[in-house]
Amino acid sequence: MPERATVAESDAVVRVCARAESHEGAVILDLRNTTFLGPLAVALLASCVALRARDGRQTSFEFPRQADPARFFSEVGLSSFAAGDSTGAGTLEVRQMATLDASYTRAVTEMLVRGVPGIDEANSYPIELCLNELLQNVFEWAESAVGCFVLARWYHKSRSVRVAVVDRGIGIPGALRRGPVKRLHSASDAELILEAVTTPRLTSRSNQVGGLGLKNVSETVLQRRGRLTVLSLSAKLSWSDENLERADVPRFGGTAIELEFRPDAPVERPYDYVPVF
Amino acid sequence: MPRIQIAQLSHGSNVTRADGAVLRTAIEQRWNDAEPVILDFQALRIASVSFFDESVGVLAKAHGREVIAKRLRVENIDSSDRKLLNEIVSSRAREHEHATSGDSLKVLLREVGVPEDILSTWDGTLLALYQDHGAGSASLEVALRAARENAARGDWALDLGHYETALSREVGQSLKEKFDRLGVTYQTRSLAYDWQDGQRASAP
Repeated sequence: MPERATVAESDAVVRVCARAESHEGAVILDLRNTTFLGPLAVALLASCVALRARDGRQTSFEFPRQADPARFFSEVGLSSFAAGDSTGAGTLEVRQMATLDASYTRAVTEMLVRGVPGIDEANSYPIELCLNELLQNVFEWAESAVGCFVLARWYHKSRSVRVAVVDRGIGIPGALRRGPVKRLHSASDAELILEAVTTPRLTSRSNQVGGLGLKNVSETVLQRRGRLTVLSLSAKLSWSDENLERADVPRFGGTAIELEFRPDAPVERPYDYVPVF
Repeated sequence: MPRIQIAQLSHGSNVTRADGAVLRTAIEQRWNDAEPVILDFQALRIASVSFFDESVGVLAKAHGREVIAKRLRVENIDSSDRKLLNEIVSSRAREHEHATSGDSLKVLLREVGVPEDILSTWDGTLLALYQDHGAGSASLEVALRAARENAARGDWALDLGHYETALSREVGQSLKEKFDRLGVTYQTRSLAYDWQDGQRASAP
């Protein structure tokens, strides 16, 4: 594993996962030299372990040598996960979900309200909203045989929340290419991710409404000057402030999303509607 | 007034589109009641675009904001949920208005004789309706003469970009009034101004 395994190095983590997933026998994922492990890397590794476990292949971890990453590694429950134990009952641990469990998203936000000064019912709302939308997308579209892997963490230093959701399904570009919008069928992976995140009402649903979820997630994050990263198939796009970074990544079967924002960041959002209710 | 207790209806499942569809069905069963339906969100926080969109958003797209405001009331809703619901309803109601105005416009154009094949290939972006006081020709003299004749007749021109037709004074005036009532955006001069190289004159 790379020394740093944050969202910026996610392509290196994807490469490690791909190598492990192609290996027939038992695999040890070596994190001894890893000094920083972000939520996206944890969820990616969990998805790799689950895919291998589905085929009866064993995966284990070498703990990070340094104290801080070792503690984080222990807190997020990756070793237990690899051992086949149930994780995620405490919301600090990575959790594999087979269905959308609204009580989980509620528990995450309640934990923040209880444990983080400055986070209250009102400003925890966007966290719950983003989690619900990301999970809804997974279970409606992803066709992931192993469900999805979720980790939400609070970072005291930046006073921000980071949420990672990873599935191993057909990918956002794959879903849109199957959809009714013909012009998207020949678009690149990066273009399709961009469309999915920025175009309102774009949906792969036929003759039905849809397409507000991911757009709403990106607005929620970016209005709070946060960062949103979407990695799917061969492309990774990352939004922060006014910037959009695109990168080609080793092909990843599925979608990996990490978002980071300060829930209590002031939002200047001009309402362009007259309330009905 | 008929009341739907969302907590009772959903049994804790109030996040997904499928959950939203259950609520929409319950609303539709009471849609023709004399009184508006009350959606009671007591003890719930929804925090889901998908749920609100599939339940009330779909209805807003189908019926528009005025009907939604008449037919539905919400009570005991979390303040953040209320904002989200309003955003979704407004967004979907705009789609309804856009679709309705597009349909109404095509009805008007059909009434003044625009052929069906022209309407079916018209994307709605180019539209001009104007009293035809102008005329175009390679010769300024010819253009001026034709322009004076057009002005005397008071005919109107309807231009869809790939199709142009003349309308009588009465039909043109009536169509203009209908466009204005409907809030249709249209140019009041020939679209040809944008790309014509020949001489063009306009009668006073």
